[in-house]
Amino acid sequence: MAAVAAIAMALVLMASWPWVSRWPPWQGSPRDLEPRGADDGLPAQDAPSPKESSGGLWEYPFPAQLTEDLLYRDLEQLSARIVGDFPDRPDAVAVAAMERMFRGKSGEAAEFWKRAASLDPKYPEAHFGLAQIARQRGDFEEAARLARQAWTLDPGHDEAARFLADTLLNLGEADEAIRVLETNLRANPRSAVSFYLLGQAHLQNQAFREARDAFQRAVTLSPRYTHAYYGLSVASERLGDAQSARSHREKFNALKEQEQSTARESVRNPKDLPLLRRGAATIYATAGDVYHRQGKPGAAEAIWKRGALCDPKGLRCREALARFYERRLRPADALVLYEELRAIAPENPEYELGVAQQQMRLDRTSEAEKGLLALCQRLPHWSRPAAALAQLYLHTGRGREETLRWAQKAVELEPVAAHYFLLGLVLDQGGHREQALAALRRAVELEPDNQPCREAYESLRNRP
Amino acid sequence: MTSIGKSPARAAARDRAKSIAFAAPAVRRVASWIGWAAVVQAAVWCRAQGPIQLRNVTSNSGIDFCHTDGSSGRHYIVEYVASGLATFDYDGDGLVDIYFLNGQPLPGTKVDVPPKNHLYRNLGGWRFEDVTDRAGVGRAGYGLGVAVADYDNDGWSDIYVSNFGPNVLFRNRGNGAFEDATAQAGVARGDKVGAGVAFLDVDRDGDVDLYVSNYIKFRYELHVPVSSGGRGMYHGPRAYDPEPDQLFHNNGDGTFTDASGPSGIGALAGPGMGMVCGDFDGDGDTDVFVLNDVFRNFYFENDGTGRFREVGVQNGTSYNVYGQENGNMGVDCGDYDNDGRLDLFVTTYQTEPVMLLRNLGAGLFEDVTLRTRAGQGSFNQVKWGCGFVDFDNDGHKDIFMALGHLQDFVEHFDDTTTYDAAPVLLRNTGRGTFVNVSASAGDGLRVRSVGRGAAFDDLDNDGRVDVVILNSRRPPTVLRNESPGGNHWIQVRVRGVKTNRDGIGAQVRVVAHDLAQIAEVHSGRGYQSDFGARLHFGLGGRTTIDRIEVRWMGGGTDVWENVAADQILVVTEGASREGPPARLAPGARNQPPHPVASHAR
Repeated sequence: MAAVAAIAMALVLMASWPWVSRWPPWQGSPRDLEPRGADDGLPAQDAPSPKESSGGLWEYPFPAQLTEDLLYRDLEQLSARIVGDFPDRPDAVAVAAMERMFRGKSGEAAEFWKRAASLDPKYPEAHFGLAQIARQRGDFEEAARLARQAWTLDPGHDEAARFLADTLLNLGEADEAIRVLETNLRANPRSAVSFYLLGQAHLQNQAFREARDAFQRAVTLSPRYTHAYYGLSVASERLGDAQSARSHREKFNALKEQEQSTARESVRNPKDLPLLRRGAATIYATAGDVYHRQGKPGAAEAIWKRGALCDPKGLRCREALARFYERRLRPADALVLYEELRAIAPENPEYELGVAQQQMRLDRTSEAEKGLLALCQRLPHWSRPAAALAQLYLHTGRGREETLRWAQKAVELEPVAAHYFLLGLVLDQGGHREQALAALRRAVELEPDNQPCREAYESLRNRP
Repeated sequence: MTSIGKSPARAAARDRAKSIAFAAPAVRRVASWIGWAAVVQAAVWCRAQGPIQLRNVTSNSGIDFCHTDGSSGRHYIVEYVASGLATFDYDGDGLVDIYFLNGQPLPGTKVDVPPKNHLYRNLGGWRFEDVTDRAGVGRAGYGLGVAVADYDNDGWSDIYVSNFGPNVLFRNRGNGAFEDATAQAGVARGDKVGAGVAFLDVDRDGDVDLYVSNYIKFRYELHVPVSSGGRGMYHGPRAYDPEPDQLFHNNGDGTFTDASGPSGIGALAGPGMGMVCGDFDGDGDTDVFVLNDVFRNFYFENDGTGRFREVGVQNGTSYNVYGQENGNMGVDCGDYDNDGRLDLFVTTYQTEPVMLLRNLGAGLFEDVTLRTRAGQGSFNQVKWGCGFVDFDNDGHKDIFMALGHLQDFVEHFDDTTTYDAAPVLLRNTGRGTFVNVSASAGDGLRVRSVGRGAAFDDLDNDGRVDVVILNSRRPPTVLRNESPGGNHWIQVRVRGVKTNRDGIGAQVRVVAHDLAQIAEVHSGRGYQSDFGARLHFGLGGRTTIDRIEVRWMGGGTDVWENVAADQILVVTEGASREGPPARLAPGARNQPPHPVASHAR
């Protein structure tokens, strides 16, 4: 009975485990503006938020017939409101900066970024925002200085690192750009963009072998990275490998042709409405994050929903909503969002995994199993679908051998606390107490502060 | 730049101080302050002056032209690509004249006096006279691009204007007037939106052929209105289908034949903009490099017979270093690093770096923009007319760019840029890099306008290349080169005999001690413009030239040795056997070279 209770509790706790993360790395994802050190501040098991219309931020629903002026007005209201609600929060002020920049008011945006920096001099986004403005104005020296400040404040700020490297390249400082990128890649070795920029830096130094290697890493991580193929063709040509150059060029041309068919009118027409919607959605997403961090879940939800309406193909607001509903144990709502995300970006396995996990929670087990098995086949080196499958079988009472196999697979692929924890539960269910204890002990060793792990371990250890 | 110790201002200050040495102490103190103020001012003045000085002389030049794009506020796309200009000696008097293209009223625009293109005759002494009506070259349509060449080899430079609408060929009659020879020549090319044009001898038969790049397929009924904040904006080229370019083969009898199909040119279509032709791969024939707007550029490699194969992606000229297509505008070619190969410089749209494409030989190019810092000073602007020009005659080609946005109220939605802008001047350090000297290059670099075509020629025959910029909807900007320093130079005007009369395609190599430079004669370059028929070479401190080698289209060469610097030469094909090259006598009709016994080549 105690074991069943432990398992039940573990399953509930595992359901709330923050599984959703970014893998593999994507190009150009907007970064969360959360100041470092801030946490969610919300317990995992929140009651569903009360219904609020527009979170109290707008008095009208999102316009069905959106125009540029309506969009600006909507964002203007959001910007004014968030700064009014949180005048001393740099991340709130940052939203105002973003909104001004969106409207082409770089001067006013810069003032907001400076205000954010004065509220918190260690707020890296303020320096990064100012760096982007400087670069847009053509002041590359200033842009590099500010980007370096942002990166120094937050060495994990991948965007700042890449921005700094690219700016250094424009200043003719390829060696320094290489140093920045190599440092960044040590911390984040799965960034295709960083490898691409590294390739560019080596090209500037005419180190064609190194350039080729870097571009190759980029396409390995991101097989449809068009510009990396161009870099590969150039590097190969300079190395005298005409055949490879031709092959890479053909791949580049094929990818380029596909890209040409998508809208690039934005290059000349900055007021292209789909492009505006996309940019605006980032602002909604960021603002929603701020309200969420400040304990205003209703407002956050309303803003993210608005952002999702704003950009029918937007990912970030939908991701935020999906996570939001997951944490609030609203799997039906979360499932809707993950299905939308999957439809928008079918190549992203995270969304497929999210769909399967919500199906699990809704007891749509055969659908979940089908999705997870497909993921495991498609991405055999990814641990999370394996873990999810073990979890599913544990829950549904599937054959123990098969459940154990998947739990062991998860540990083998990624020996983290969560997977040892799962393995421990599976072993315990199968009557392998000593092995279960060993697995749970390992989970505790890996994450000593993890309460569920510790409780499960103690419970099993003390069980007669 | 003079040193402080020798500054006249300081000497004056010193004398002044002496003369009042016995005055009252207060007066002495005041005098001292005045003296030091003068010294400081002189120091500031000296620091502000760079080795290149371009002065704005527009207002006293007699040039009263004001460009119009014929706009009425409807923002038709053709408005923002207007216009180019040409500098050339139309009357053979040794002074370079100026031909400005102009727009025409578009639907919704009413005018009292229809605008026209304008030809200004150079009178010398920085005075110009409007001879448009006398020359008969005013009414040419909605002018976008222009190229100049002696297409009928009669000794007089003709003009081809590329329009929004049918193009026009003006044949120079040699008496100060032109006649419309379009119909006879067969080069109207239909109702299209033109762009850059160029004359070139594709098959080396001695007659210049005509390359016509076209922009997009536009008709008024296809116009796509777009606005922001209630104000009209211009759409980009992707809202329309691109128009294929055309190649017209010169039949040698005053007529042309459309060879677009057989040549391979007509097989592709891109929104053409500026272009330049040259023997970039050193194989003796002329290739064609055409920019496309928000599309990959086309590099047409000539097989020597006038058939072309597009190899832009292979040879590294289609895209920038990132593999990205730009909003490409103007292009010039020149040997910026004096390695004997012609390089390319391309201007681009806002927040796009320009492209400096270094010629690696064997038909390959490398984008060296980042490494050479050729992108300085222009990132947040739209860049148009451009040129490789040795402004200070130090033997290294500098870069000049004319800037100006195309969205006429861009500040309303993007305050990181401006509609009008000052040009940018990048000085070649001679070590493979450039430095932005715009702030210290004279008042000419502080003239804010909406630049489009730019032309570079020595308008006063003083051995320093000057600048003319056609500004959209505004008067032009004429900049006189007053660079100090006293460096030496040589200018070479070539005259073909077996090859085309203008010597288009001829490559000239000038060797002065340790400095070797090359240049080529082109027709059509920059942003839809034409300039530089007289090849200019800065020589630094070198006063004599060891060799001038001319490689003519078709393979013949001429060599002259031991030539004095600081003169304008006219070199004629085959004349090296007869003696030194002729010297240009400004103000008089060009004379054939004086036959003097000399070595033969």
